[in-house]
Amino acid sequence: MSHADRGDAYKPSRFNVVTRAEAGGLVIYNSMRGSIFRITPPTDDRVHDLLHNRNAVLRRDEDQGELFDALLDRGFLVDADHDELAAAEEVSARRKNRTDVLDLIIMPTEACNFRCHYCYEDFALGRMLTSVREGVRNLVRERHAATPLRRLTVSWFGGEPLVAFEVIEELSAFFLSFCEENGVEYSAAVTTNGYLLTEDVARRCLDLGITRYQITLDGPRDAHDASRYLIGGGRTYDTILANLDGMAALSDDFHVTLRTNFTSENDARVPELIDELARHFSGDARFDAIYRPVGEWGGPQDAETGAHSGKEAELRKLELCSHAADHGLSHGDDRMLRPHGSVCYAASPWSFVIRPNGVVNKCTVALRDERNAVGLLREDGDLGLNAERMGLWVDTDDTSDSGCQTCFFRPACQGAACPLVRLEEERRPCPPHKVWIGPTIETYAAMARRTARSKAAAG
Amino acid sequence: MNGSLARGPAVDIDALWFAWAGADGILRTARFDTAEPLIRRTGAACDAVVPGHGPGRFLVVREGTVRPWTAATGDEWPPVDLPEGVHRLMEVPGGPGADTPHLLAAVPGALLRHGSGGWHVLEEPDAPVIALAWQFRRHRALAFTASGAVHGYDPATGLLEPSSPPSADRYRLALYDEILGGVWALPEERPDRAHFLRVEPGPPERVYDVALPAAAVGLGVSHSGEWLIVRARGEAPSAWLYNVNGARSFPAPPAMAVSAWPGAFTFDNHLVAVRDDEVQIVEIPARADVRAPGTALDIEVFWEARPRMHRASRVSGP
Repeated sequence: MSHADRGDAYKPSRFNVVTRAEAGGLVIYNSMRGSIFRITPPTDDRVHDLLHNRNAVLRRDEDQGELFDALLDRGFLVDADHDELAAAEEVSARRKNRTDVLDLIIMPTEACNFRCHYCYEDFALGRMLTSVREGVRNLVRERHAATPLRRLTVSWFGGEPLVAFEVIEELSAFFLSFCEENGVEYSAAVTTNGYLLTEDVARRCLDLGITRYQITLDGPRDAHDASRYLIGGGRTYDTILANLDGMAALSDDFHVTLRTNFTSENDARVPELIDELARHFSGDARFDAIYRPVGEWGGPQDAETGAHSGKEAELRKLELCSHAADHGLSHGDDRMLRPHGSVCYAASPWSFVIRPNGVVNKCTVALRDERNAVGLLREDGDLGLNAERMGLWVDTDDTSDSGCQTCFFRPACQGAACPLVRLEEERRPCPPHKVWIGPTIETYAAMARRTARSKAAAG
Repeated sequence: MNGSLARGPAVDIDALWFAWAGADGILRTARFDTAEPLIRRTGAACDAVVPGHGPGRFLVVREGTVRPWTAATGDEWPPVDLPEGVHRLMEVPGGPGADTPHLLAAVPGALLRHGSGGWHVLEEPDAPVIALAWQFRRHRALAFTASGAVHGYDPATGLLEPSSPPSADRYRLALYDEILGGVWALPEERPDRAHFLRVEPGPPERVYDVALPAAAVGLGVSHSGEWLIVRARGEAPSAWLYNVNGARSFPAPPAMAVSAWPGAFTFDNHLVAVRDDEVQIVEIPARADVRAPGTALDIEVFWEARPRMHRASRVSGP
């Protein structure tokens, strides 16, 4: 039955955001669908009239039937008797109750060849112990034997993971063959400083199924080298850029996220970096840029990093994203606005950080926090989980927070954007892009429009 | 690590097992994955011990032979006669057979490989080999010579790739640092300085030239790459810790002074010194950004205060 035939009552979704764009028109977003649309005049006023009152009961009017149907199809209007809170709860429960996925964040070493100015880690643990590597293999075998896995995701993290590349090779070879033999979908990513990612190593990584890379550059050469230097102060920018050029020369399918951490000290220089990176990678859809304000991530150097916070940081982030998009470096990745997109990995019961000594963590930031040590991986694959500590990370979310339950952003973050914030500060961990949702969706709508135009122009 | 034949301590590939020979020539081991280190006197005679290629595995040298031995299980392999004049020794993976270890040895004038047919000359380098080490992430053995040249040996192919010396400098001692991917080497002419030569991915290239706190007769490096152990001859302090990132030196922690020279670092960044049946352990700051060269450091606060990580900004004024 079409919408036109039904004559039912409808209401605006409680997960809508409607905001006036500075450039004119309206930007609308729905967190249950993760969709953003820019509505141009004169339609913008009609859409605003339909969506602005969350308590309205609406019936389809033939005069604006097409518009009404479009909003209904895209989730901005829902049946009046649709229980959206129950639907959101189901989204959250579906995530938490999954037994067919396993996400491992593996630290092959905590050692690092860099000493970044703002880094929170202390690099105390060396290469992953032989017995722990065996434990990781047995963990995957045992998990699959208990409840068949549909998907295994591995993220290599450190320290600098490529410092212990032999551990990555050893375990990746196992993951690839195990997943192939057992029909498990496998994907892998690495967060690396890029210094050791020579063309040979990149080639080997791709052969081992590592297709997603996050590499950080903090500004043009001098700014980057001042904050991201080798142990002892050695320069790193030229080597990293040469390695990225080497990757760009490969014909493989992969994705490199070029991350820039900005503070009040370096953010004025970031546009120069964007200009330079654009000369190398603009137009190569495998390269994308993101910008993150340096937070107070813990560790002894917090007070000295010039950390950005609040609205200023978020708006600057959006400016930089927009600038990168103008230079063909950012493609408007809006995953964090989609359902589950802002849920921290630590909040899911099937996600674990495995440290080189076998300690099992939930969070990669609070490495010295006892509450984060939720288990100890044994050689037989048993995680030795402490249920009480696990609960601190996976149960402190929208199920226990009435504010989160009624929030427009609930499907995207589920009250679990950062369990560490709830633990440490006992407050609701609203992600900054939710707090500043207006400018965020306006920026992303503009970026999407530019990307669509570029694609159209490219034929 | 540099493969030198010494009484120890030798550290296994996981940095959990240490092995050394006491003054009585008897082999001892200690393991550090328990709350208190477990020290064991094996009863086996030993002239020197170097790391093998496996967890808890060592090469035990005695009376001109070498025997691979696993500390955890006590398993041992048949002895292999050592070539005359051997001064550096290491085991590489991929041996020709279960009972035949794959060994490299440096003797005056040659780098040798041991396989199923005994010892063979791999290369006759231009200068003596002063460090032999395994590059884990590159799956190669590295031989570093007194001229600063690097010879990379790939056991999978059996090929040796030589490189030219980066400068006219001559070196008397060297050790490989896995984290920075290079060699710390002590120049012959300047015993109070150390050069760091990056050796991957290209030929050796000098990156740092640093001032050491004393003329060094021995050198060690932490698994984090953060610290060098500088062993000096003569009056106390005979051992220093040099912080690579901060370019600062500190006398070795007080607990070490009563024992032998500091020996080596464990997997979890404890500095261990051994002497006969005694083991001294000190937890070392893994990260010490010492950023105020020329000022004195409050050493007691540095070593004793909590949290372990300690900031350079806490140095006391000049």
